Amino acid sequence: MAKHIGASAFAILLALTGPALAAKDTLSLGMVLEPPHLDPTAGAAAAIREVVYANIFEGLTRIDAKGEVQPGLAESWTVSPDGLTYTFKLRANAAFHDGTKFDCGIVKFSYERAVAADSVNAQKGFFEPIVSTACPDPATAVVTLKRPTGLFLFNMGMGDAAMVAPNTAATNKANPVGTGPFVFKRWVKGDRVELERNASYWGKAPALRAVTFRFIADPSAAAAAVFAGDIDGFANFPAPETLDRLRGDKNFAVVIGTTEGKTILALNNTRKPFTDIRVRRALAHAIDRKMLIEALSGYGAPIGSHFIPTDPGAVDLVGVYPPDLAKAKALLAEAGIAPGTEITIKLPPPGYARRGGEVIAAMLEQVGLRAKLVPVEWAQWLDQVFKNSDFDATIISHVEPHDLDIYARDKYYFNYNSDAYRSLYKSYVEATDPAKQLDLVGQLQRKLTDDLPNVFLYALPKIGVWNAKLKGMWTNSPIAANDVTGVSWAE
Amino acid sequence: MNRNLVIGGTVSLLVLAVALVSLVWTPYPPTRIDILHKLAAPSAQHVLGTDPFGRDVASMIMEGTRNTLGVAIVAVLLGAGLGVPLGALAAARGGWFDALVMRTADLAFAFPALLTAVMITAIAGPGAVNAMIAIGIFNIPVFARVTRGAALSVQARDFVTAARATGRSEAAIVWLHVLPNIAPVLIVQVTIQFALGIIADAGLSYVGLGTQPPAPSWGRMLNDAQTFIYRAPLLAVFPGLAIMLSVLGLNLLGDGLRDLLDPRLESRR
Repeated sequence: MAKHIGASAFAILLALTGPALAAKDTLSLGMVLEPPHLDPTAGAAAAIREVVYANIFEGLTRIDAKGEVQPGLAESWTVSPDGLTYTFKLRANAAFHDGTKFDCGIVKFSYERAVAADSVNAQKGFFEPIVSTACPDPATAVVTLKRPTGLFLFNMGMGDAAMVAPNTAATNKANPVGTGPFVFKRWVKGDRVELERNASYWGKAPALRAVTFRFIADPSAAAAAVFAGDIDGFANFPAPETLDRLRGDKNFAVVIGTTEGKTILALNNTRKPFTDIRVRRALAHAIDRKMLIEALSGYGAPIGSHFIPTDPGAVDLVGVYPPDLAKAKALLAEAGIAPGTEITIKLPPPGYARRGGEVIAAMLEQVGLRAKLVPVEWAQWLDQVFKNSDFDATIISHVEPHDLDIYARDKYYFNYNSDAYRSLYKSYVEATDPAKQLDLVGQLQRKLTDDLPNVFLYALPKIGVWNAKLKGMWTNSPIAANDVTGVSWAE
Repeated sequence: MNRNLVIGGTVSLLVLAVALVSLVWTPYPPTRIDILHKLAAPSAQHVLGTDPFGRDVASMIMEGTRNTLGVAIVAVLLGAGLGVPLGALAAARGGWFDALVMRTADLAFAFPALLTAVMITAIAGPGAVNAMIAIGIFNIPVFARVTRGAALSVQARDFVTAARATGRSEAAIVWLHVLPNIAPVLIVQVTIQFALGIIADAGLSYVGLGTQPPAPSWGRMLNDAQTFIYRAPLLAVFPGLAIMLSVLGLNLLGDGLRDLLDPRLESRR
């Protein structure tokens, strides 16, 4: 009898510990912004890539956690000595989630679609150097360029260059079908996107069985969800004020890294009073970047141009417009701006904008400008500010790497319009000598600091907070992505 | 002397005084940031400490008082200004007009007030003015119903019949006889709606639909303080206390006024 009881006690014990013994294989990650849709080839919002990049969609190359180019759907490639012909050897067994086979026809389709007249690709410039894509056989793609392009392999690893199939390209916004290790399961608007493991993935199967991205914009709700364990972490945690407490808790890992996010006070260069360079410079003198960083999280570095200080070719231009209230006031007076003039700043949901806006408003008040703060939702921001340029000023972080080209575009939301910059940029992309390229990168930065279309604030830090048992999360964000293909649970 | 009246009256006057003083003086400009002195504990320089941007909490509470009272006052004026005439007219006219006003009021009551206020501000855009309108709209049926109920009982009394017999117009009767007699009920209702208005404004500001930054408001101060609860718990305490004290004061004042003004209750004491 005693033996019997012992056996059942053992059985109960086994039943209780059973679930804990099985390693966890699901992940729930928080994100501040909800993507407007899920097609990375049809929109600029970083939130799209933060869900789909490397998880659902793949390109010929892929960018790893260090920002280096790795093989993706192309297992290898060769470049001709003149730098004009790229021959990609494609994965033979790759297929889309709907069964469509991946071959050179897909590459040709994807690249040609991206530059087509009706393309809504946010980075058409990536594909502009391409003359043609040829398919000598289904497993080989030969891409010919107009001119040597140093960043070509990197660009082809960005979400904008993801491979899409002709039969599903039109519906990827709501129902993304890619070749990646995770399959889109469902999207509960306003709440979450669910992915599950792709059973027939061509490569190494990911450790996670299911991944959920939860959208929580409110810092206090985000902090509460992390503390309660409702979610496993945030790659970009919006409540830095709670870090001290999180650091003291061994259940959480707090990992501070860098991003490519150039946080700027973007100004509508076609709207008064920002048409006047003296006004823009006055704003730069009025805003104390160090204090702004201190107020937001204490992490991140001031920037003086549209460039991350640690990237190759960076020029230190932070000191060009030092905090100087008297000078700011003098410049405003010179420009004929009366004290008490009101400017409207539209603020998207992230903390650097909503909280940063309050700090900047207070700083501008010291030089006699009244900032009217208008909080806008992310979808509104994308529509009003980014698409229709309907704004005076806004605060936003440009997280794409190597994006000096946005100032050379014919039409971009802040309406900087400088032929001098455009020709400088043209000579930069056409330069083949690395030393000359670096020199031109410096000149481009200087030109932007000089013309000051926007007020450059600071390099956005990556404040990662997640369960201490999670392995393989990215420390830095060389590109906007939550690549969870290498994430697993320790135990 | 009525204890509720004294305490409630004192607290309410104090809140009003703070709001009035903030018009001409606050210890610091409430939007002035001083990052180097952020999250300071209460001290001689900053009586209630500073917030995450180094703004003076006492100054923010003072200006927040003014902003909140502004919203509540306009909302009550809007509600009473439209609700009282409607209710009085419904009582005087009776018939289809009475039925129409009261059924519309019933309909309005069927919606949760705060939720609808959220809806209105979400559609019309966040801001203090829209918050005033949203809260005010929900005061209209309250005042209409209270006025009608009280007016009906007055309408039935002898002196009204006498006035009617002497040929007074309905409007004159309402103005000269009904309103003065129901004034105590209305005054009590004003204090109740005022307190509810303060709570509604704090609620709307808390979810970001009320007074917009950089102008301080109690609700948003509470929201902002939430994630700082581990580092600076007092940040949440002060705006919370401000809301509690002002609402408590108004409710006590309302109770006291009812005891004082409503003769029907006096006999029970």
